[in-house]
Amino acid sequence: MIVALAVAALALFLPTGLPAAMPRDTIVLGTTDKITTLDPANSYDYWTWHVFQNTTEALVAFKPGTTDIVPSLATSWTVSSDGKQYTFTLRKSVTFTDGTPFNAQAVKFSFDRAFKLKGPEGALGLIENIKSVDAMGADTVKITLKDGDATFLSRISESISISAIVSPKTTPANAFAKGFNQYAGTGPYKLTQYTPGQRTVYEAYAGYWGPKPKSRRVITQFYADAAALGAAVESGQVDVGYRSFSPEDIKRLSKSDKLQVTKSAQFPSVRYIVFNVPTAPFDNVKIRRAVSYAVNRDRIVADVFGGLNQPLYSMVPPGMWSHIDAFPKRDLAKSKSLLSEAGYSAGSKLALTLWFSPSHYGSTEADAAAVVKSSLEETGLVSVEVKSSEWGDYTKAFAAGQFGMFLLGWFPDFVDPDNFLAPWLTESPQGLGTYLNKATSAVDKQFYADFQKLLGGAKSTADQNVRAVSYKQAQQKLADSAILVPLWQNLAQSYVIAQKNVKGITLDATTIFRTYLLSK
Amino acid sequence: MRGPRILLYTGLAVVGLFVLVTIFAPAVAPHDPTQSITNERLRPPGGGFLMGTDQLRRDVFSRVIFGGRIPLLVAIFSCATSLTLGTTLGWLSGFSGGWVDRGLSLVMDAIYSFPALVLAIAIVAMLGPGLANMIAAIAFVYVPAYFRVSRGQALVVREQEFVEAARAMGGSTLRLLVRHIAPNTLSAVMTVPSFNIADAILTEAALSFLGFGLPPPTPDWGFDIQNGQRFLQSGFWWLITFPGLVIVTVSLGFGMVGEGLNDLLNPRRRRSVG
Repeated sequence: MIVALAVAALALFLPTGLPAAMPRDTIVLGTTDKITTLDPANSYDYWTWHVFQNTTEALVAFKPGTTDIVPSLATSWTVSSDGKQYTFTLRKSVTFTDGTPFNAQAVKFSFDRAFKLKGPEGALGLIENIKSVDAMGADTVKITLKDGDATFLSRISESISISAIVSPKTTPANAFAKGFNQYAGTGPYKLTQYTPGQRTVYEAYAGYWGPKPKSRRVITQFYADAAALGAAVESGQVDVGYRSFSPEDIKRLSKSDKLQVTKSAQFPSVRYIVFNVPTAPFDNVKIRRAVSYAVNRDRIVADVFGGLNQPLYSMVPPGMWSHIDAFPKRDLAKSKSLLSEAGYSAGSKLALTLWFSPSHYGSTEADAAAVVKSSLEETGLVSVEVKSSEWGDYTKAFAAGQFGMFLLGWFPDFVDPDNFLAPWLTESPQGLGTYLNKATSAVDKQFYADFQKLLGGAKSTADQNVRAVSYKQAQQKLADSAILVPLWQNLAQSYVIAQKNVKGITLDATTIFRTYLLSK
Repeated sequence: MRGPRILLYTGLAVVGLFVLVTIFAPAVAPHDPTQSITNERLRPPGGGFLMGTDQLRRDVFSRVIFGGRIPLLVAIFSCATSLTLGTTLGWLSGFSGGWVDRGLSLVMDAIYSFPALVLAIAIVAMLGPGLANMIAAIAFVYVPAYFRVSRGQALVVREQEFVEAARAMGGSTLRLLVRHIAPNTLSAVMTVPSFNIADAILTEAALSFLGFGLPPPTPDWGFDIQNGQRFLQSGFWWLITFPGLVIVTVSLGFGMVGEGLNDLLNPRRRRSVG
């Protein structure tokens, strides 16, 4: 503890611009992200989950670099024939960082606590399908589901904090954790220091059951903005910088011979246009398809992001199994003919309003909207007005169906193609602004019925090959119906810029940033 | 030529050039300010692009020329509004005295005690972004500037003999205000707008910098500076330098006109507003 304080004090008083004289077993990580509430049952944002992903574990995990589910706190499991009962055999002689033993009671405690507390800021919705969790002796847990769900293991994996297994001794059963030391996981790290907005310190847990973390200590420094993070990496104050650099900094720092740049081509952050389907003129599938043919994804990527992001032709991004490039390449002639079929001409143009929110998506968002506008106007048959609003108002407005066409982003809740299709099409079409469930035209009603059948069917079987066929069909149907128009994959957010001597940076489609693999 | 004259004429030259260029922007600007016109992103100034290009491959020079339209429009309309409102209320307040004067002065002092920019931001944040709302916010903020001057002058003028005489002869309040108070206070009031326009242009730039202006791709100096600042650290200095220089020059120009006019029309008064 004294050592940790000394190190933290050192970091605090280090003159800026000088390389940090950190011991070799300490990694300094920099970010512009924030921590909200350090309770796995009441948080739902990237960096707070990042803390849990490094200090707690779940029944199952992902093999680093892949989206394959592997044993973690459970060593094996069986599924009943109806897909509703999962029986997990638990790992033996595992302890929490507070010293208490991990067992079936702790698993039951963790899930029951999440259901009892119903964290308003949490992700309970992702595991609501759980009917009951029962301890069958010390080393066996049976989880019963309301409906069979092939995505279930992804939902209780290490990437989802609401499924983290925490110690009944340290974690309050009937209240949310306050402060940073009111939860205890099984490691590999223990969170030993947290100064909101400034710093966290992870220390390796000596009693960890698995492979020792590559570095004994990880200090995370929080920076106010991308420019400050860029400067900190450049000056050597931090070993590793992650989330988020500006495109210009990424380009500039990529040229430095003292730094290494890692990105994930499979980073599953996607950006897209949403149409409110029942609202004129978007109740006409021809209009939506005309937009999908006219948007210039290459221009967005080149001009707005300096080539750092990737054009996206399906909501299921590359790197996720079942991905296909379902949406057509840009075709102005096709777009024009669809627009004239819909009755528009150079004399009577289609007038559209495109909404965007710079307060959530940053300073590049206005540029992206401007490029979408000009690429649609290149048809000669459309005039677009762009309008922006503050994120809080924005989410309320689109959920209330007030926007006809707007820009949105998606970061998956769990690693499965289902989570890139079902939310807008069948699960919560109103909350996410498509209102497909309220479709008025016969064509769109049919699309809704088709999606329900395809996506519902895909979830009810566990065979990934069978599921993949359905998801490919669903992606194609989405391209035909153009209810959403995927634009780009947000790789710029995945960039890790680190000093040359840092090893062990792994990025994959799960988005888990594993600090315990980092060393220097 | 004496000092104030040089100030006035230099100011007038700057302001005149700005107004002409802004009005005739389509003829002056080499390119459409909202269209990508080259394949080179963030191209440094020179070689056909006097001020370089921005990240969306638009001509910065054309954007700077068109970028004055919104500030000028906002400044003129907001000044006209606050001039009319502030001056009329000032006359009324100064001339009638009593509780009307006390009440109005209290309200105006309350508005005046707020930093203008902060108040304008608060109003626009409440009303929402857009041209009309920016005009309304800026007009509201600058009403007290006119009020103070016209009220002060009205207080002085109403005590003078010719006003007393007109009143003694049975002149109505309206007649006294229109025939005697207004003409004799106008020269003092007329120096306010040029300072006020300079402030209004700066305030407009600040509002559009903060995203309360018109949506992109409408060229607007404040917005373009906001857009350009994220590229500064990477060495693309021309995105913010040119709109910045123009804002400074134009508001300086209006300030010089105001100072010159003040010295010319009211030689014994020092600048007391702004």
